[in-house]
Amino acid sequence: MKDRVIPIVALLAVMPAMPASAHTGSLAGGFLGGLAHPVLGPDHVLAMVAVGLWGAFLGAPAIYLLPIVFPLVMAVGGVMGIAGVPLPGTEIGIALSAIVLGLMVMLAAGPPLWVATLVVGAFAIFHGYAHGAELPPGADALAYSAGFVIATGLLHLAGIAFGLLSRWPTGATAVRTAGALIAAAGAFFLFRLA
Amino acid sequence: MSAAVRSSLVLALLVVPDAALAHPALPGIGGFWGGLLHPFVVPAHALAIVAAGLLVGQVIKGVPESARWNGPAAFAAGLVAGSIAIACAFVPVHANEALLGLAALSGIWIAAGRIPLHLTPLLIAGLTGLVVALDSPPDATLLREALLMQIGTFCGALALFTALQEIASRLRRGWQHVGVRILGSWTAASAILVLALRFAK
Repeated sequence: MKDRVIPIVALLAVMPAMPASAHTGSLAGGFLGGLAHPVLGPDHVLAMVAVGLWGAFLGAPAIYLLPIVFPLVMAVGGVMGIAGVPLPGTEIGIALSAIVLGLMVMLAAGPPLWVATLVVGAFAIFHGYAHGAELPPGADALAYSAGFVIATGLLHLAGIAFGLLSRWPTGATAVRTAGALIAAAGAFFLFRLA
Repeated sequence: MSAAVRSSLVLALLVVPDAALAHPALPGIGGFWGGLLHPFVVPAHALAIVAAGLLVGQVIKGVPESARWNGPAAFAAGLVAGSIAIACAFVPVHANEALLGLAALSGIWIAAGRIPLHLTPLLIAGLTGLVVALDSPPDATLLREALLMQIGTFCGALALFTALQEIASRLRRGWQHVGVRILGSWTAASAILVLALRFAK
């Protein structure tokens, strides 16, 4: 499996570079800004990695379905954020996503696929809403959006890559420990909001 | 080329200066090469063409060799129709947004992994070609330069579409299909967000 995952990561990392490298000036700045946006928010990073970890724990088809569903639902949340549709408790929802997804990984929870998809999709709304509300208007909005969608996807893939260690007993312990740490960090984010 | 046709073309190019300035020009690159690179450097164009190419590529797996050219033919027909419309001084409204919409639609279908009826992707390819051409009025005042740019855009866009279609149609392994579906999801998400931003303004 590992030898299949590496080409996936390489393919997905290289293909979007074509339109990205085509931009010049502010467009490159827009793409890089978007790429950096999710990475600079620790709450986003942990939740995205947790999605990948959980997907790896659940195995096929969740391992690829969750990273496909998340960006699409995140876009719906983004549209809500851009349109100014009120979504109370956005930051709480993001912190909760780290707690819940971290706990799922820690407990190696294996609910039906539709439940996992629903949980991940629900939290994607909050993450998308936060991103959408911060999306900068202007000519490089597409480069920015592509940047942060790709960064989000790459965080999922990083989680999946680490989650594949769960095939070995020691690796499974490491992955579940990572889940516990993510849940603890989510609790910290929630505590900070209170 | 008759004087009347020449005059019409020049008039058409002068009528659409606003649209022509819609995209940042490539500094120092004009004529055929400027047109050739245009679909690669305008993000909405690249996104829509990549999405349409991948969508058609997923459909044509296993079809007879002769049918492989239906996608590029539909796309090329759209490009030609769009170029003729531009030459006839047609000024498109929201062509860039239409391209984003097409990219979103293609991306969702790619991500879903369930391709609609065989003819639908060809229709998407044709529409994408049409709107790419409509959104690429030559940024030149000399007729020769403008024609070279249009030809360049035609070649660049068609080459990009055909390359993506061929790549997507030759993917056989499971992880490759997953990679394409994830790419479709990213394409749709990016396009939807920017569309929302445009209409929210």
